[in-house]
Amino acid sequence: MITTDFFGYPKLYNRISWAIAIYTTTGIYCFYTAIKYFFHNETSLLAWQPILVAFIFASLLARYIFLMMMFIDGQFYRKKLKKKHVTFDNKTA
Amino acid sequence: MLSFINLLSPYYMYIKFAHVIFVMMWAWSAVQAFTHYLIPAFSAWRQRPDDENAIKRRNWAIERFDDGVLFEHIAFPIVIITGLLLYVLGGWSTSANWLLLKLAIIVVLMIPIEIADYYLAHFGGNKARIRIAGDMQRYENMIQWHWLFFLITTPIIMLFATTIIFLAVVKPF
Ligand code: HEM
Repeated sequence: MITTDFFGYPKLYNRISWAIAIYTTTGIYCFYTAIKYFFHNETSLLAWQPILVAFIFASLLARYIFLMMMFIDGQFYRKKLKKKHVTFDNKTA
Repeated sequence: MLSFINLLSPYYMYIKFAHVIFVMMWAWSAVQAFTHYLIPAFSAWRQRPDDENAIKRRNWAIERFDDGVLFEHIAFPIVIITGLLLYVLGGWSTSANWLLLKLAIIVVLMIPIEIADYYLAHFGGNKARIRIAGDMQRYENMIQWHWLFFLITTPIIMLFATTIIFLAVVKPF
């Protein structure tokens, strides 16, 4: 028997959104800073201020990704979407 | 290498045209199908996971979408190749901050996302091929992984594709 229940749920989305936000911010920061450091001898990004900005950005990004995931997955609008998207060949929906 | 640069440099603007036109194709070709066909089909299934009609329509939508992203996936390597050409021919370097940030986003986000997307749509995760092979458990699993992939990547692409294009066009720093 194949189960068609989706394995995703809000708590998982929250964890994923944090993981992705941290990966993204760290990745972009490290890539940018490493090239500036090794190829241009620039160290201006190796200070607490840019790191603080990156941290704030990561937090906002995590929140944004989480809300978008919930929204696209229809977690906020169950009732509204039901009428609109369950359709013509399924009148009982 | 030098003669290669000499040969192509008069065509810099033509290559830039190709870069931009394929960026358009990459960025927008799947949007309408995604928003108005795929999402409604998946929403219906998410609300009624056991509804046969909803499942049928979801399966049809994702199989069509696997083919639909072909435009995007032809465009992406062309964007990368023409981008690299512009970089070399234009004498650009990573001292251009906008370009470095753009490259960071492409390397950290876009390339891994596209690799996963190629796999899910055309290679091991191609739904039509899995269905024809008769492995329906894998079919269902792949559809669900693909849905999780969309949930994760949609916000990322919306934000960062716009950022890349903004950086390249405005060159703000
Ligand atoms: C997803 C990938 C990419 C997107 C969305 C993108 C987007 C763009 C756009 C819209 C422009 C036009 C800017 C303008 O005409 O003012 C541009 C220009 C440019 N791109 Fe890309 N690009 C991508 C990948 C790359 C890559 C991988 C490289 C190089 C390694 C690259 C190098 C360049 C260069 C050097 C220009 C400047 C052309 C100029 O202003 O003369 N791009 N890009």
